[in-house]
Amino acid sequence: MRRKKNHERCDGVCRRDLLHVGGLSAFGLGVSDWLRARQAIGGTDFSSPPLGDVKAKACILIWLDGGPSHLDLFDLKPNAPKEIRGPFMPIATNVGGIEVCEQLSRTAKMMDKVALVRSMTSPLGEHNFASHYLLTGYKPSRALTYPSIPAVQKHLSAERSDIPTNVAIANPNGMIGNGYLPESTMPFIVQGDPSRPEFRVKDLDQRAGMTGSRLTRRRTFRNAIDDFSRQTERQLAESPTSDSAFDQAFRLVQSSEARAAFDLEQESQNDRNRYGRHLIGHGCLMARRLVEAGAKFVTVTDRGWDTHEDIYLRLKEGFSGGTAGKIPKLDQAYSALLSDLSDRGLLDSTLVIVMGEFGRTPKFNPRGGRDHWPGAFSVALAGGGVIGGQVIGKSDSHGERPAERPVSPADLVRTVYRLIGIDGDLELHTSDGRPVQVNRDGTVIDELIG
Amino acid sequence: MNQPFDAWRQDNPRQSQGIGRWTLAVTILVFVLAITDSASGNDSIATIDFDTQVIPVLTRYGCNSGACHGAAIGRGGFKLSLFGSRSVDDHQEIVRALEGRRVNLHGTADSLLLRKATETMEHGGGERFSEDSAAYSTLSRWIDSGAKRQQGRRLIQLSVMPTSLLLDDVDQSVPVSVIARFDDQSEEDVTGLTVLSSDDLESVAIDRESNRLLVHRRGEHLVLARYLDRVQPIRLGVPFESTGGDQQFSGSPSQQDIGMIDRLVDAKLSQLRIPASPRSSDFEFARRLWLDLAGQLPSPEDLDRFVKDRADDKRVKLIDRLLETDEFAAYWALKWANILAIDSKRLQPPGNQAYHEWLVQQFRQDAPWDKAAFDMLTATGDGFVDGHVNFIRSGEGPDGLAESATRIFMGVRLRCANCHDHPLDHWTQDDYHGLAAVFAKLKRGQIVSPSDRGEVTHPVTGQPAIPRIPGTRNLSADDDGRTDFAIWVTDPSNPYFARAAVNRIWSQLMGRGLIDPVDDIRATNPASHPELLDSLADEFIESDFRFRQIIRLICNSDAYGRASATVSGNEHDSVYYSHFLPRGLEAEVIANAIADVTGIEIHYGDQNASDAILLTDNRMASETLDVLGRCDRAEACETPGQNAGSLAQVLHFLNGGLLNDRIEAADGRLNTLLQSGRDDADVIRLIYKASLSRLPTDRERVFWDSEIAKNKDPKGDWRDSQSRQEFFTDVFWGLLTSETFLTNH
Repeated sequence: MRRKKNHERCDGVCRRDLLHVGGLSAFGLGVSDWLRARQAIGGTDFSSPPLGDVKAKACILIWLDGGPSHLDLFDLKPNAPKEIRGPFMPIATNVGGIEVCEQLSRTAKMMDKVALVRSMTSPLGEHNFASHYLLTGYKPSRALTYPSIPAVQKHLSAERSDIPTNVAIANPNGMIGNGYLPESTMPFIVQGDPSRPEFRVKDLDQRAGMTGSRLTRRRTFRNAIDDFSRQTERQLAESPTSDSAFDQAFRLVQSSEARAAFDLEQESQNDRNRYGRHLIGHGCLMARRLVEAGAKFVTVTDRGWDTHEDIYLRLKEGFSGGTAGKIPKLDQAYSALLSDLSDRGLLDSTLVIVMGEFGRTPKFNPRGGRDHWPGAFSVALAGGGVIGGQVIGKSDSHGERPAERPVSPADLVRTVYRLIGIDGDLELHTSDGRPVQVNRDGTVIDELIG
Repeated sequence: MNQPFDAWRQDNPRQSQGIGRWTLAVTILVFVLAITDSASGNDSIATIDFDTQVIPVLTRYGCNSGACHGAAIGRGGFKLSLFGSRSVDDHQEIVRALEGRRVNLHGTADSLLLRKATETMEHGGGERFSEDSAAYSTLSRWIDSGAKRQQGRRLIQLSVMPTSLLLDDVDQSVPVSVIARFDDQSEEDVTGLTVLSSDDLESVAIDRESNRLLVHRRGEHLVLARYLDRVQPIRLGVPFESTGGDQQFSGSPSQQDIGMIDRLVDAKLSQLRIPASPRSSDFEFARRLWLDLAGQLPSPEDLDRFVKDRADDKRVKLIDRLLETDEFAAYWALKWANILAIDSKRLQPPGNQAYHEWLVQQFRQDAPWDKAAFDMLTATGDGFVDGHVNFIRSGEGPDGLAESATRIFMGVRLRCANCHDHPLDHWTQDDYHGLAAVFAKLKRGQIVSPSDRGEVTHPVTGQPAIPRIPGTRNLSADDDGRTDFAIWVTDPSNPYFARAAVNRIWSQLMGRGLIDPVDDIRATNPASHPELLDSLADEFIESDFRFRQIIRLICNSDAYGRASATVSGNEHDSVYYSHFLPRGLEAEVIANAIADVTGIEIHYGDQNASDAILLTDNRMASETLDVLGRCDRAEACETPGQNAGSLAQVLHFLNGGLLNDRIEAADGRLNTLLQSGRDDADVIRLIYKASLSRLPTDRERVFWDSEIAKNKDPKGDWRDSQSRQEFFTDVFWGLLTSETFLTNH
């Protein structure tokens, strides 16, 4: 039996390559261009532009990599023929008229906080193309790689906090890169599975005997060496004045408060169990800690949603004889995150998004799986100014196409920008000075925003 | 005046030869079909031909695109094949399905096909064309004449004009003309039926009314023209604005002894008016070459010897010398182990080791790549003994083998053709599952041996897939499919094999493939320098498919030898090789460099191993290599060093032991130097040379002098030996964590 490993996507494209592709445009970024780009936005901090009421101070993106089945999560079709509807039944939620999958029983109890968009639609059914569209708001082009939402947010923020502001927990989708923006806007990647007993963000603690003044000196020396070298040779990172990963790390290790945000040992066993002892659960828990400490965008990547085979085993049990598949884990993590944020009074200022690159085919394939389907799919948004307890749009009877109010990835991304306080019409600049709008083709989903 | 862009127009001799052969085969097939068909009275073109006239209308207006009825399950109950790749099925769907309501032979205008397309009845896709359009006229004439599919003619040639054009300025419009030639000798202007798509609408916009391309930006742009199953690129170039002064478009002072590579690279630079950076310094070149060919930094002694050498041909000699070293064989085997994804988890350590050692042996002997490929594809035997057998053991089933065989030996992503015909290329599901069937009848345990059983199910027919050489011909069940495929793919006339190999070599040395990504060769992703790719492929074939000759050619070129620093006018170039492209390094190379420069070894596994490049077991636990971003080989890594700058790596440099312990070690390079009685400036100079392979510049010396002065007491003495040691420890740390140390440039 040929079977792909759980974390792998069917196209198996090397993620390193993707990051590389994403970074290519940054090769050309010179200091002067970067400065020009900064000048173009007037050097102001765009976290609070004149966009009316902006509630979200931070965003947590739960990225279900590979493409989650809309028909088995948020948009069930119990009346469709057997080869479409699948074995899961819908259940009622705490909002009358909204039903979700029975495997999402905990999430169902907090649907008053969640807005579902069931009429997402895109023409792109290949992982990388689709991911690029969902994460940047632009269809991919051979000519230009676009920056992801968190990279744009990082680029426009003048904030230099001790905590890295753009963090990815677990290796992220390659399309969450910097595009044509400086490489320093890439996420800070926390590798590994934070639920593993041996997990810790290694090397966070300062080395014995190392003083703050020596760390500062090391930072000065390293930057000087690279600045001098740049006069005679080309380097990968060409934006020395921006906030490099190195600078972010220096600030992080010198701040015990910022370091503590990564330490899940400080959470009670109770809370750790509540979020779940698995990657997505502990990823969400760490995301909450990071947001509390001042992070602006945290991406939690959960792989394994590319369910071409044995979809129900994968979604419900995980493996033969397993107890929790993809959906129960998501349900546990997502509901814990929403209620925890809510209890702490952080939900209003934290936008939480659950999505993947597309949905899955309405009809099962012969291997008991569903293949890629971008024609209709669902996205869940909560907090950060989103009006919960509503469903936007509707897919047709088989979940093939939107039946009403189609929403494109460009629309969704523009809405996310709007929620986190970035004007989609703002112009950024590529390395060769070409003006590019933050978002070109989208329209804000007005009914989503309070 | 606009002029044809000569370098772009070069026809590609082998490709046309290869494709010519296929076309010939197709033509013969068509001829045979035509003979059998002629009995039924075929008056071809008087009526509208379904395959070559109706389907192009459906394609042109987006009806059979993946977003509409071309989707795998169709749309709105109407399902067409993607871009009309299966015209028999499409004819059936249009004429027979839905009780034949899509075409109405008694009242053409009532046909659903026309009413939906003109939106005279509700249509999810809106109005595609109007009743007075040429498209409407074509479809209604076809229905009038009986809505038949007679297979009147087949497309044999598509001429797109222009194929490439160099404009002298922006904001010009370029007319496009597309002429189709069919096997019945007929010719037709199909410009209006050709789908034109621009890579970047802000650079090249398309005016569908007049079929003109409007070029708005400088640089090189690509537009794709699709008619039926053919896709052809149109290249448009507009030179960059001159920055004034005496621009140098070539690295070579003399045009007389300029080699093939530089002739073609420089021609492109001069056409686009991108200035070239000057030749690299000896220091820069030595570091670059040692890293590229031996995977290590030059020792300070080697560096001195090279820089002081007065011979004109010292670069040539160094290239030749390094190519003969064991380090070269070991390092390039590592690169290819990453490309082949040699994984001990899948192969078990003995199989993994045999494969890796076989690979080292190939590079040590400069073994012909065609022979190696043939052996890998047709292997049988014990994977723990014969290394190359593990190619067959590496693939995940027949599908995985079909994918890896095409990726590695052809640079092609066949994977897209698993679920549907490849939308950007000519690969079909028959190709994919047919090639998988070639690899199906095998037992693939530790021993690889033929098996009577094993087949692949074609997802469309539900029947066993017919073994097939992709894009070429079906094989009979009696054939030894693997041998047939291996003969076909390694044949000098194969349009992919040599190109894929030289493109990968070029990418490893130049930082970007001529076709990029290197595993995505297709007509719609053309080479930046097509003629150069062809010439390198020719050279590779002539040198008996040996790597070293190609590496030697590239390393000896001015393009390779240029400075990485940019000059005014080429700062934004990362495609045309106007300056050397900096790039990351494999984790194993960085680990060895850290050990070499600090003078303290890094130990792996059972502690006997200290050279990371020689490690064969990729799963051997090593925090060092993990943190430096080694390829985990669950998937192939075509480009090195993509994990640079991760949080884990930066933190490890700051607080971990890898650097700190080695820098501080009492018997390490730094403390040995500090104890040697040398003055401070000398220590700076020597640690620069060891780590960055160059000397500090004047400005750097001034900087370090002033830093040293700041840290001394007012009398100009170090307060104590500890403060001196700490100061230099911090300098050394800065050197080893700098971008310039961690990249090849």
